[in-house]
Amino acid sequence: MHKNSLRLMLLGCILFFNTPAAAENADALSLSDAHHLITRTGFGAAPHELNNLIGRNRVEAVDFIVNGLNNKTTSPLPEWINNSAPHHYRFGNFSTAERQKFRQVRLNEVNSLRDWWIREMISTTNPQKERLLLFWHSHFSTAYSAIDNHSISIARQHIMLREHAAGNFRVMLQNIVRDPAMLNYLDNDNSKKQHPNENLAREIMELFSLGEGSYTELDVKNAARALTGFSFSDTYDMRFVFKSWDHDSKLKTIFGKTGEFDGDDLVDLILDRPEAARYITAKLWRMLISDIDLTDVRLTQHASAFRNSDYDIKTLYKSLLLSDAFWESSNRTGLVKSPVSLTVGAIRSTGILPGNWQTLAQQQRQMGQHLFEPPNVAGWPGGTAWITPGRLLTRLEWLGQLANESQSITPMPSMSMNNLPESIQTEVGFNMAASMPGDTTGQKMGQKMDNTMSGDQNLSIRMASEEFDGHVQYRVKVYGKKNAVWDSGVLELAGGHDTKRMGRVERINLPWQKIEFPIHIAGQNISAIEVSFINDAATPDGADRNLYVDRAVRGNRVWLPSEGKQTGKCARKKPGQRGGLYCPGTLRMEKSQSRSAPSIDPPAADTVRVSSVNLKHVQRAQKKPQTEIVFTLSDVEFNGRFWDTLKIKYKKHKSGYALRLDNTDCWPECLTEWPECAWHNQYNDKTLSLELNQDNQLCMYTGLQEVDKKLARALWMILDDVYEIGKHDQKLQRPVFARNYQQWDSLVEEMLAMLPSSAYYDDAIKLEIVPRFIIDATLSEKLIAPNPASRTIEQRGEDLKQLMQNQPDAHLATLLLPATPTGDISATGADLTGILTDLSFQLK
Amino acid sequence: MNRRTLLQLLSGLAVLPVVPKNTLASTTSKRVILLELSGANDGLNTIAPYKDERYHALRPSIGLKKNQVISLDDEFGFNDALKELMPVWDNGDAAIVHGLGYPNPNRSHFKSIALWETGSDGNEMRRNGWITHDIEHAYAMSQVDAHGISLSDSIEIFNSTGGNWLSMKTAGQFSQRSLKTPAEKELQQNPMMKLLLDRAATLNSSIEQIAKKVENNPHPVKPVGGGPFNAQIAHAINLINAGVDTPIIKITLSGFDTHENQPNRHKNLLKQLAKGVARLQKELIKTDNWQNTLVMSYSEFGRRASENRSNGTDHGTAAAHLVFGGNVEGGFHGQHPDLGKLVSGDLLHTMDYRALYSSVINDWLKLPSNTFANYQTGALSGLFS
Repeated sequence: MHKNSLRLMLLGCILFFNTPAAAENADALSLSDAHHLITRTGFGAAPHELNNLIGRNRVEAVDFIVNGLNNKTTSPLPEWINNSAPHHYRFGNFSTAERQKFRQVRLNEVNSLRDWWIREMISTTNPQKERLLLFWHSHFSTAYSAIDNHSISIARQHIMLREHAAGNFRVMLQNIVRDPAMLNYLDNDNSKKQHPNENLAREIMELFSLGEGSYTELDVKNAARALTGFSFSDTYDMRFVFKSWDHDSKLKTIFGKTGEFDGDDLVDLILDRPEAARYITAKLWRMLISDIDLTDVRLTQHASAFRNSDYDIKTLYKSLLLSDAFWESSNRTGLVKSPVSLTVGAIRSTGILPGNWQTLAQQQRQMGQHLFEPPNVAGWPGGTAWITPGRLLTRLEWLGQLANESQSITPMPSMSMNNLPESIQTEVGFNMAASMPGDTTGQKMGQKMDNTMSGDQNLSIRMASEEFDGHVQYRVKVYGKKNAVWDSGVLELAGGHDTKRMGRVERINLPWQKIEFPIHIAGQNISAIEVSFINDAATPDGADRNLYVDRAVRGNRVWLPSEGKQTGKCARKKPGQRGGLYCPGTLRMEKSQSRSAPSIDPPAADTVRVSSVNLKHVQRAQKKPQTEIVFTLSDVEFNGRFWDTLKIKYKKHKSGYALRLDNTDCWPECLTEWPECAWHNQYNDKTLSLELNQDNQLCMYTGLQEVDKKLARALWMILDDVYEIGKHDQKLQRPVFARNYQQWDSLVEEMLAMLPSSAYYDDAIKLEIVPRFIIDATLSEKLIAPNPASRTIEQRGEDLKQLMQNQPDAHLATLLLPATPTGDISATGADLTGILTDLSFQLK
Repeated sequence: MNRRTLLQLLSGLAVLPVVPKNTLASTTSKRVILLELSGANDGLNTIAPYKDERYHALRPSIGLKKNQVISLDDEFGFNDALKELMPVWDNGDAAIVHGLGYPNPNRSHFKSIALWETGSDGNEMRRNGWITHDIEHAYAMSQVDAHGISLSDSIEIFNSTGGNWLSMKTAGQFSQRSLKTPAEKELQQNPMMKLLLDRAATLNSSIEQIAKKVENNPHPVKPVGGGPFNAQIAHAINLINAGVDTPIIKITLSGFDTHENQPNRHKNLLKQLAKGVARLQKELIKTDNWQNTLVMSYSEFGRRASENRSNGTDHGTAAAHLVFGGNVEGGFHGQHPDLGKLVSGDLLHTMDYRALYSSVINDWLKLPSNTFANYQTGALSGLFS
């Protein structure tokens, strides 16, 4: 079949559609037009969003959408993202238990970011921004699982994309070639001139900017050379660093142009190609208009507009929304909603926040879309891949549950709904009840949440459950000095993982949720917290009911199951397994720890205080004219100055010993000012080489500011202690390290012997270690139940009232479904379940 | 032009093999059970070259001594934790394929398992599950109850934009599902809607068929022992014995990332593996299904040749894999990597793992197309009898 006959068929389809634009005012948006614009640019369509656009002309409506592409969020990003990078460089120095904990904390961080983003999508007042960000998130695909637990890099990439989502594509691409998460994901961090890695070079052309066939293999090879040295450093706050020594600075030929190109030049070379605008335009066309026909000649004009604006994303976005193609009937209801779009859209448009909203990420994962975990560098394939039979089943079940959920909640009777048609009244009731603050923590019995009270006095327990044939029942008791001072009574934990339908999953993939308990026990110290599992059940084919407890938090205190005791038939003895209640039994947690580091006085003058000294690397010392031993100091405090990390290298070279600091060895900046002779190339690389033999390069020391001289002396003077501490380093478990380290004994001795006669001698200097433990900053994070689309129940009632006044023929199906339903949904009789599980709800 | 051809074209970039040209006439008779050893199984301590001194030099603590292996020939022995596999081995139903790996190896769990599951290597990344295309091409959706069923947590190996690839966690799962599919309306829906209706119809008949067959299975078995792997084995037996028509079943045994205290952990895992496969053989022989069944293991990579200081092994490259089945030619296939020729401490693979894929597609399933035909090797020509 030719393209023409394809087009003919599409045209044929148009005839079967009702023309949406009403006859009176061809340009004024009808309900169906508004629905189309909102669902394509955002997630579902809430009643007030429809009200806002119905009746406006296209230009006004599109302007409204485009103007909403701002950086507003309804809540601040999780706090840990503002911290400096965790000390990943210490991973090799950790014990097994520490590594586990460290990994878990990083995972908690990514989970908190994911949950925050989903919550933001639900509550945002500018869904078009979050939707566009989701587009770029999949475009610049980066999977957390593949980047060595670098949660901070994933978060920073998210912030970068958020900032530029509606900005300039050139700037975005410039940021991408310097983005540590991407450099890690596509293996560019170890790409050296001797062995360039082509991964990033290839994907940046094939998937991020030009498309297959728009470049040659030779272009890829040369682009890879241009990108060599584009890396990041874990001792430099995990930020971008340009490793000039790994960079191939020779001539390269890319797209027929020759020069000493680097990664930044590569971006410009790519964007000089006309294919770039065409490729991005086609991709955005797929998101907004159609993923069927990408040969549409009209695509070209949008690509030109994009190119002429020097890649202004808003220009392209607006141009596509104003195009006839966007509005024509043949292009409506033809896109499959992604799992995120489907779930968030259902919540925003119905106003029903499911009881297990906190675990929405896991539910989306079941449908094939786990944010921050795209399947590969091409991102989520989307389109028909979302509705493979297996996934379709999960989607329909989720929607059925959402509809069911609304029925189990009693409508609030006090609202006046007399002016609404009967067909919609019941539904409004659902919406209102579902939006009630408080009834959203997944509990059904005994418990009334109160989000207005002081959160700090609440006890919050992070729990998950596996269930079948009913929810897990549990009970929480809080003990004062001796007796229980608070008792929850028997409660049910809704939103568990259904083992009968879904089988078992790994503990980490359970739907974890934070349950808050308003306990009023002012002035009392808690001596213990008990969580009991009551109604165990299991079947031989794998269905099972279990309760899992991760932690309890109140104010500044944290109780962890690993520190507790478990009783009951199958109580877990190993600390790591505690908290898994597989049989009826009780977990009792007495010991608690503080959530934040205690504050202590600053160190004495001339004392270097660090949280840890770790061996980073040690080279063989014997029979080598040049060799080095490298240590990292963490959380350094010295004479009122602070460093997150200092990496110090003691080196032996042909004419003596030196202590070496490169500018990417410290975070933040090593020195207040680098001496002139430390600058050594056109890339602004700076190296301070403090020679023990003062005849060498004296300018390095004499050129320093007084405070930096003090630091230089300190780093030399702590050598003795540092070397001693290093002898107990976990890294020496590896035979090669142990052997090499021992070889340094004599070298260190020699250095120490030379120190007193050097300029660095300063016997006031002391080293002090104040350990810090791996702190889980996400412990204090709290997500308050969002109002879908930031509309309160009262507002939603008013919204619907207004909508019905202006659109007397509208009913629930026309508000929620994109076009002709597939099932038998009559104008008034349809229930919510019927509407949400109608196949047309899968599409937008 | 019929409606399906239209759909195929309209589904845009998706390759939707609704009417493949070379469709196999009958429904599936042969099946493959893909057994993922998640976390990277240590090939050297599964099938140990226990007489090789270099092996013991590399692994002075965790290397298997003579009394810790079941000798298979004068070079190799099973880890004795595989004791329960011996009836399978003795029956000639267990094959060992040596030295499987790929060029430019990646040592990240996530990245390397994605390579194995898509049939890629360190130089080129493919995106769909390795067997999806050839299976979809061979069997129309209507010919099978499902193209493949994953019984474990992950379904990435079935990544595909077409096909009926399902995930099922418990045997009775589908009996409780119900899905109302609307009667197909005439050409008033758009192409995507038509596709959706088509998929829903497939799904409906799939669920109905599977649920009916599972319910009518006269002799369902129960898991022996706890844990997800035993449940998956029982589940697989039940699906096959119920006559559920699917060419691919995927199961997973997790926990092979043995950086520390490997000996005990590894033995525990191998015991589960042996018990599970032995049970598959026993139960499927009873129903004459063993002859049609192939079980093949895979894992993201092997482990470093030398042990580390924590009584474990770090991420490596090549490893041996196991193939079981009533029609498998038992014994050794391929070449064991040379322990004297390590590359930065790692084994050099002697066979591209996609040679095994090709052999399974071509010689076992006899599918009309073979994505990995280029990798076909004579070294595996005797794998199936």
